[in-house]
Amino acid sequence: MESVLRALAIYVALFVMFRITGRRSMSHITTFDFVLLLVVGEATQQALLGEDVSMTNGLLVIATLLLLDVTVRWLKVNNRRTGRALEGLPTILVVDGAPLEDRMREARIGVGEVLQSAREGYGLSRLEDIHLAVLEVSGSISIIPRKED
Amino acid sequence: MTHPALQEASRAVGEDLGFQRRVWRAQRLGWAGMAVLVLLGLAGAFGNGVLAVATSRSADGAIEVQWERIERVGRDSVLRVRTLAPREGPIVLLLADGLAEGAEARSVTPVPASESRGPRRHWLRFEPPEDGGRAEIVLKLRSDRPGILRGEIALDGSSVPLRLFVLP
Repeated sequence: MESVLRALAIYVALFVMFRITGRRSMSHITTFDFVLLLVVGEATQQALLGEDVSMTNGLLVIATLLLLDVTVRWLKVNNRRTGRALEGLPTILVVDGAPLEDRMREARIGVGEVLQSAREGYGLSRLEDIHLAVLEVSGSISIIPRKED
Repeated sequence: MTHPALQEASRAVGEDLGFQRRVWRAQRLGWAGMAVLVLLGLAGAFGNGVLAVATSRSADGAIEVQWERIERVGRDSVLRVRTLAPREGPIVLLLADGLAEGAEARSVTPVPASESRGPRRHWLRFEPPEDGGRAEIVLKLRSDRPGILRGEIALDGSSVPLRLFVLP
């Protein structure tokens, strides 16, 4: 029972902490972000397993974590309010080449990151070429190029 | 900014800026919460620091106990018992209730000459200090269950009640 409770507590704590930290796309993480994630995983391991390193305990913890994840996904899909609260909503950052600076500041996204997404996705190099830049719930930035007149 | 293109795009992508601003506000509160957590951790509010250490004396003033009132599962907690007057005869230390049942004495310095146990009681017998001065006994206790541990430590009839918060 203790393993299940440990897994539940760690899942909730990590979920809350990463939600607080904000959105960050896996495609935009730096090498340091990646190393930080590995260190977080290492620190979590001991708290999850305790001194019981048996296979039974490991499997029980993995099953609990996966079941919790399935439950959270199910809640996101089947309950709109819960989904919004757990995942957030898309946010527009640039409209018709004009950066919405207050939103970008609050979302902690720089113009450089928007331009990086524009270059990577569409080969666009100027903000003026962007119709919309949207910060998605996944943390990635979607770019909709301006239509040629 | 009330750009018509923005209003249209906002509807199209399903944006709710009011909600999003509440989320950002909650995130900022969360950062403050994490900062408080880290500062409390540095101060020892979760064990192993200044806030965790407590000192208490027996009612008759014969012994002084210094212990860590906030502890964590799986970590050794240092408990020091000192006599406040020089000791000559053998010393008998009693760990009672939670200290005998809910915690394990992982190391005892000096090594006891003998020890015995009863239900919820653990006696340790020591030789007096060579120089006939004040005695000090250092125990490292470890609990494997979170919760509040209530116990008593006694030395030749002088006792000090202790309470330890064991964090998970």
